[in-house]
Amino acid sequence: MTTQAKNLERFVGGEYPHGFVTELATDSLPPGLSESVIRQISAKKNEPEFMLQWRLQAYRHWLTLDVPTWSKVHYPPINYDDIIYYSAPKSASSGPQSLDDVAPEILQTYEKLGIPLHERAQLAGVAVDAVFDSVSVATTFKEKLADVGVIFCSFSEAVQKHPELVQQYLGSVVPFTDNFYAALNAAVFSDGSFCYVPKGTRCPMELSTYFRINSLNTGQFERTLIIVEDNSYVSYLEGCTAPMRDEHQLHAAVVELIALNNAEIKYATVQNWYPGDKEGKGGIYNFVTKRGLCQGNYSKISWTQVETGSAITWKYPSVILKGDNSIGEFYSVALTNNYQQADTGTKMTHIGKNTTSTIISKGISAGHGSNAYRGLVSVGQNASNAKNYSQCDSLLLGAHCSAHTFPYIEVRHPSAKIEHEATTSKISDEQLFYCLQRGITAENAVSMIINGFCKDIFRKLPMEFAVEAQALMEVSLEGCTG
Amino acid sequence: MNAGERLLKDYSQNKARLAGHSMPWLTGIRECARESFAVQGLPEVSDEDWKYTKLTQLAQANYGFAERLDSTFIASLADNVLNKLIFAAEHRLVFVNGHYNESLSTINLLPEGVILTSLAQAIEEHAELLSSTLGSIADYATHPFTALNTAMLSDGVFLLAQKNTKIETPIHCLFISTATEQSVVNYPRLLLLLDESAELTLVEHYLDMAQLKSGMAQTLSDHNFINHNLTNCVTEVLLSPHAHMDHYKLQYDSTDTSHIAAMYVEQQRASTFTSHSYSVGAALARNDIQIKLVDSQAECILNGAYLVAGRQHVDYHTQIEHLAPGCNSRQIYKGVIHGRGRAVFNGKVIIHSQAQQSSANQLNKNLLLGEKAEVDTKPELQIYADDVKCSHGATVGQLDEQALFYLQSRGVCKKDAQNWLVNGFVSEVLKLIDNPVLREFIQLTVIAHLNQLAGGDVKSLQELISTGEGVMPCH
Repeated sequence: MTTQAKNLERFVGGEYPHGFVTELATDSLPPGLSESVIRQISAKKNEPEFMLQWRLQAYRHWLTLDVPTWSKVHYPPINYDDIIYYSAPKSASSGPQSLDDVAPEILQTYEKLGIPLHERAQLAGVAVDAVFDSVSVATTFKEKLADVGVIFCSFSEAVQKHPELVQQYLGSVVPFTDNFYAALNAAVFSDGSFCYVPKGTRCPMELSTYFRINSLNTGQFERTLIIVEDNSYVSYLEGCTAPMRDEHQLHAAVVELIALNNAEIKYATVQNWYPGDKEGKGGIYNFVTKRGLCQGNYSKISWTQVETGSAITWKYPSVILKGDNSIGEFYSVALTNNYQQADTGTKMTHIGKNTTSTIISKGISAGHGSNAYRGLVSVGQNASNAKNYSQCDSLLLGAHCSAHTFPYIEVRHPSAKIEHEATTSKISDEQLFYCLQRGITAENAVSMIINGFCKDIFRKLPMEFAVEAQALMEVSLEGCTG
Repeated sequence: MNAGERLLKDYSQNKARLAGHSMPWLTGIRECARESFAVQGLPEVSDEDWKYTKLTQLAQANYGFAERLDSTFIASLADNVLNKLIFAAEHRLVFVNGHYNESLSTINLLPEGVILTSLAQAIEEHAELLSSTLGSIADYATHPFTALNTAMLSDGVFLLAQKNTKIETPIHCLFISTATEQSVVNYPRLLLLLDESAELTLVEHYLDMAQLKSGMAQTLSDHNFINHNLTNCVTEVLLSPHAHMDHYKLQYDSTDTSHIAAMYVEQQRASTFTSHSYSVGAALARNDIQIKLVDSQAECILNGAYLVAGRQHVDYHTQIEHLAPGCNSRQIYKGVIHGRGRAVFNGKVIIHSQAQQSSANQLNKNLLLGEKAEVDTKPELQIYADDVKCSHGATVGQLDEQALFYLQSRGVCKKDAQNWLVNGFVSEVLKLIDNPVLREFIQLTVIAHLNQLAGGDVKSLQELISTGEGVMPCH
């Protein structure tokens, strides 16, 4: 046996020689990534063997990859050995002890967004159990869901209770070979959400990670898997509308959606991670891989996103239209202010027959913000009668911001009908003048015009989220006019 | 030895035969460009700019130096080609396999202050002028084929129009390529300098003998070679304040050649540039058009159409940089793709932060007619200023079923109806041609080509009316 093979044997078959007894005493692993770290993560979570093997494969693949550089975002290189890859849910003692410890700007924002008092504490990362007990709220919802057969739980729980579903679908839409961050996520993800809707079920309520309290404090590598069986429907909300107090720098999540025959998934995100300060210091790097697979005929997946936070947003929620007559939709509002950067868009891959996709993307740049739409519409050789309509509009506020559009269109079938249009402009002086003339202040006028600009997207959000999203736009744009 | 090295070998073997090989300034330019090409190498699909265009055929060919043809053959070209052109130009420069041919060319009286010569002659006669301008606009650092052309340039067109000069009729630059014993590369280079308020129209016309069927059969039968020639041309244009230029590019190369062209334009204050580009021939046609609007109020208009069939591949890459306030750019490109043809379009508009009050429009429309045809289009906007109006659009589609039905219900057979609609689609670009002589000439050749693609034997509306058939069922 060669040395190399011996090493391999030691890693794959053998126990980690140093053990992890001491590590158990603390809640997090030392920084850096190695096979032993992954084994420890897997062991801590008491995962079945297939999960460990999958993580290790992903890790070995990740080692062969280079950091992608093609996007329009700029940031100092990340040292992946400085990151702590596992840290158990933050203990009550690490966060602020009461609302008095929370930064006053964040509290002001909550006020403006109209967030109920008890939720404010929770969002700010104050140890919630000490403040009020929300667990009972979450439990009621879980019971109601269980009645109709919907499984909605944390990823760790799903691995324990429904390993067969996890094994069948994990990585089937976003394999770990997909990209650098997807591979990293597959190797080290700590938790996330899992949702399974059985055949012929219409999920009785909007599902949201918000209700699943335990996921609020999960780390930077989360993984969401949603499976909707034949003739079923689910609407899923991710994120929350208030800024999260989070000191993590890198956030590399993966979301996989699978829709079988005649199933429909609506996935909405309102993302408002910490965007960094006015000089562009700090803030979250949000590098997310989101993809849905319309596997069944007549299936439908719809992504709606409102992206106002993060120092860098880099994500392309995509749909693979594999089933005949399947539908993919992407509605997005991305706002960048100060030194925020966003490179976002979608991929619509038409494979089945008579597939339809719609892309509406609205980008708003203010301050020194940079906003790019990057999208791909591809029509395969057998995708007869594919239809796509894309529209990406950009609005520029201020002389130092920038807006870019990179739409890729690849058509390999002569019956395809593809339309793409994009416009970029600023708020016209006439529009502003009209409002001012009628006694509307400049700030209100801008906010009104922007809300009109984004109306098509907000309409796709559930009602209460739409209202909050509008308020969020106003907050995010504060100080960029006049 | 890879393809890039083989092309360079051509340079080292033949550099003593290039025009002005003894002039240090020119050798300096050539050597730098050679160096740059050696570093860049032939582009691969991993390069974003060449993502959809593979150079397989080109990379496989073993290229030699394009020799001058014997004078009797050249003489036959006058009858067979020039006299058959329905477009009679007052000023015509004719190149055969990249070499300027004086006997075929005619340059009539030009206004005072205009220099129009072959590049080889200009290298000898206007060395001082050329040494400061040649290669100053065409940036070869990011385009390997421009580097290669700069290393190998020997002949082409040199034009200088001094302040306030106007040339009324179009200047016709005709590049004829013939069948050759060995695969060869032609490296035409055009350097066009327009001083303040100068105005002119220039036609860059690429024609292959194989495209002309009648009359040439005998001559061609002696030269029945299967080669893969390459035309690698570069056009440099400098427009001084208030200068105006209409540029026409007609590419009717043979369908077994590669045509890789790049055009670089620098526009100064309030200059206007219009480009009409038609790509019909070549197995692989690549057109890079890079415009820099360096001073305020400059305007550029790019119009074009590409018609491909069989296994043809056409690729347009346009890039317009708005570097100063108040500039205007408009683009419209239309494509008709038959058979297993493939069309690539990448239109890039960059508005720099100082270029406020810019306006930029771009439109790319494709008609996908072949079962195995493919279109890859990417209209790109990069905007760093806020007071701008920019838009772009791209479509891929088929003929309107309702329009087809309408025509058929009135007795037009399906084939004719389809053809009329395709002609109508392309006409939207054709009618943007201002010069009536050129419009007619291009219209005729383009429509004839479309009819041929549709399987020939298709009557135009005018024909049906003039032959008294009226609009009647035809089959």
